[in-house]
Amino acid sequence: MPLKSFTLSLCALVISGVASLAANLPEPHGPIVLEISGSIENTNLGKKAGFDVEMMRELDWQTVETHTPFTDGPQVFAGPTLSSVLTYVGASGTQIKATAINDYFVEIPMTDAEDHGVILALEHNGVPMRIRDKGPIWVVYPQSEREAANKTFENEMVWQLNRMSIQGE
Amino acid sequence: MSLPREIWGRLARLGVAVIVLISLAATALVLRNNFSDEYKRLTQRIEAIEWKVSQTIFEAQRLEMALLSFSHNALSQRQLAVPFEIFWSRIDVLRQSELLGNQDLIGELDAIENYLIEIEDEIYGAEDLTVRRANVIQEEVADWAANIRQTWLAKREQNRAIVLAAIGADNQRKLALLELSVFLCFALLAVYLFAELFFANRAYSREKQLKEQANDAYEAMSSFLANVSHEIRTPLNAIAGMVQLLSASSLGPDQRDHVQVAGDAADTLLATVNDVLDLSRIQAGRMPLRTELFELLPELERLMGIHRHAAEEKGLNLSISVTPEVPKVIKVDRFRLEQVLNNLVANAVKFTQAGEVSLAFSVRNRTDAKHELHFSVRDTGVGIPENSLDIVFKPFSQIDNGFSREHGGTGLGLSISRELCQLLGGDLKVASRLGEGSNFHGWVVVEEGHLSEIRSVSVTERVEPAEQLPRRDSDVVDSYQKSSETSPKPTCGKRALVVDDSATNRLVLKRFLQDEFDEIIEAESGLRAIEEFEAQHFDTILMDIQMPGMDGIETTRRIRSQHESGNGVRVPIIAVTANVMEHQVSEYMKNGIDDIVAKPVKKATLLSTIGKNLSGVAPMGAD
Repeated sequence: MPLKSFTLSLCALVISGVASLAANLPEPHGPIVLEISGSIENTNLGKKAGFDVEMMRELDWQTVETHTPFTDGPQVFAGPTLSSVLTYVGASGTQIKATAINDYFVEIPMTDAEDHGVILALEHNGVPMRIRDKGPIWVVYPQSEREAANKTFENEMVWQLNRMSIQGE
Repeated sequence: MSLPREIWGRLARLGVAVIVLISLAATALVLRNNFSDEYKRLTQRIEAIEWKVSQTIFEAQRLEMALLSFSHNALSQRQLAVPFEIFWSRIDVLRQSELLGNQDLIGELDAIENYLIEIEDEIYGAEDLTVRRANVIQEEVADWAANIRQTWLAKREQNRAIVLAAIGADNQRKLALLELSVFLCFALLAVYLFAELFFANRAYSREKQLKEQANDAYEAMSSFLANVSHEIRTPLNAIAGMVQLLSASSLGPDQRDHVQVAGDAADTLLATVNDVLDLSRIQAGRMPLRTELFELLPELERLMGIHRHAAEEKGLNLSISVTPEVPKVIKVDRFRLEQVLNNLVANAVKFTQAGEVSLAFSVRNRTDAKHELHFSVRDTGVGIPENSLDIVFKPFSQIDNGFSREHGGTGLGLSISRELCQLLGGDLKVASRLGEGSNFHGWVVVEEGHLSEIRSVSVTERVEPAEQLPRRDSDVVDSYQKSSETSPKPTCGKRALVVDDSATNRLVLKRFLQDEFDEIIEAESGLRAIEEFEAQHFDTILMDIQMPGMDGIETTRRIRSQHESGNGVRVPIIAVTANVMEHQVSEYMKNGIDDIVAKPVKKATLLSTIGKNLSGVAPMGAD
């Protein structure tokens, strides 16, 4: 694992080195699971950045065990950290408008990414999430049982996420 | 020791009360927040379920729309997957929510999930979905959605009731807690109040007991002093009388000196007895006050006259100043005011070796009827050390310098003076510097009067028998000096009856009367007096009060009853007694005594009293 994370951070370094170039991100090859628009530096689909699952796997992929207000008992989620995704696209702004497949959306403060270690989960308990399982992406805030019970991050934890728009500045 | 303990007890009780109130307020506050939190949570729970139900129906309709589009070739079979999946996820979300035991809805959702599993292969399958089949699925999905809607609406109110009941149960527990804490608080408060009442009651009864004890003590002291005064005055009467008689007889120079010393000693003793009596009466709250209208200036002149001789002997200048605002006629207890001034001036003269003694009068704080009559007695005498200023007014305190010891005195004069000033609505203060002199400054409350009033009142005032009582030793001193030279020659009758169990007293009285009466009969008891009274006519009867057997009061009553039932003129009966407390005097008067002469007897007073009563009742032909 240390080797893998080293490789990943090396990747991140290389990526950030070329961040200023337009349409500079590699094109996704598989089905696009996430599109990022708005105030970003790095794109691959016109003014947007599109991700397939493989691209997301190459970012800061984390596995966390956490409680959620929607589930019973600790759950294991895996996916790239929101921070790494935002860094990858060179996002600069204050708010993220996170939109689900059915057009439901919430606005999340950019700072939450660092402050709460938010991940864009693609796997739930080791299995990729289908839409019926709240996939393809579920915004997961790692939290304690108490926070889950108090529904602290209930609103922010959008499921069936497929679009993000960076706003502000 | 008991005082701090009581304070601690009080503090402890106060602490309990404060704790009780704080905890009551805290409980109320916490529960209030709790209730409002609960209310918020209740609304959120109901809102959450309603949101999920409506979202499920919404996604069902989207799936219907997608299937309709598929039927019209506007959508590929692959594109059906997304709305299908989303609808499935909604069913799943709803199934996992808190459905408040709505079994109908749970059953409905289970059925839908089974249905979705059934048609999953058709949607995702390798075989193409037919339009006909798509239409059927579309209708079935529509039915499911309608079912969910109906089932939810049917139980909507019930669901709310369930949520409310759940929260209600929670609130019941909290209410019970609140009630318990309120009850405990009240119980504690009750204990606190009970303790307060108990301790207050105990303090009250203790205070009452102490007051009773103090009253008993005062009464004991009062009667003790009355007895002592009687016991002292009676022999003093004899001594003073005999000294008077001796000084009137022919004596050698040595003998005259000795008699003078004995007379002075009797004076001093009398002054002391009077002071002690005054103080005890003031302290027992039994000093009667008799306000009287009088002209101030003549009174002051008379007062200065008394002290002028002593002042001149020492070469002191005695001066008096009265500001124009001071009323000419005032109404106040003349005798007591005089007593205070007399005492202060006498002290000033006594303690001043050279210089002057000055009196100043002024008025302050005038209102319509009342004024504060301020007076100061200033001297250039020895003064009072600063650390003794506050003790000069304490009874029996004499400042320890050679001077006061040299001059003697009971040390009661200033105490009495201050008490009297306070009794008259004012106070008495002192300022002094050792070696430079003293200034006694006092005031009393007086009413302003007019000359016209005083003329009309004075007649009746003078007749009041109590006014005839010698109330101060100064009168006694006066009478000693005057009696030998200026005895009035009253128009006494021929026969007097002297009733007294003491032969000495009878002898003294007889000597006093011998020039005025033709015949003086003695009676050594009440019975004997009545026998004499029945046997012959008397122009005057002198009656001792305290006698063994029948006392003076009883004797008088019997004489009066005989007189009323029969034979003519009412004989003046004059009590000759040392018992001259107020209540005693009024008792004598009630029982038929006409007038009182206090022991020790002054010849002048005795004769003038007899004369007054004779002239008022039965004018004698002689003279």
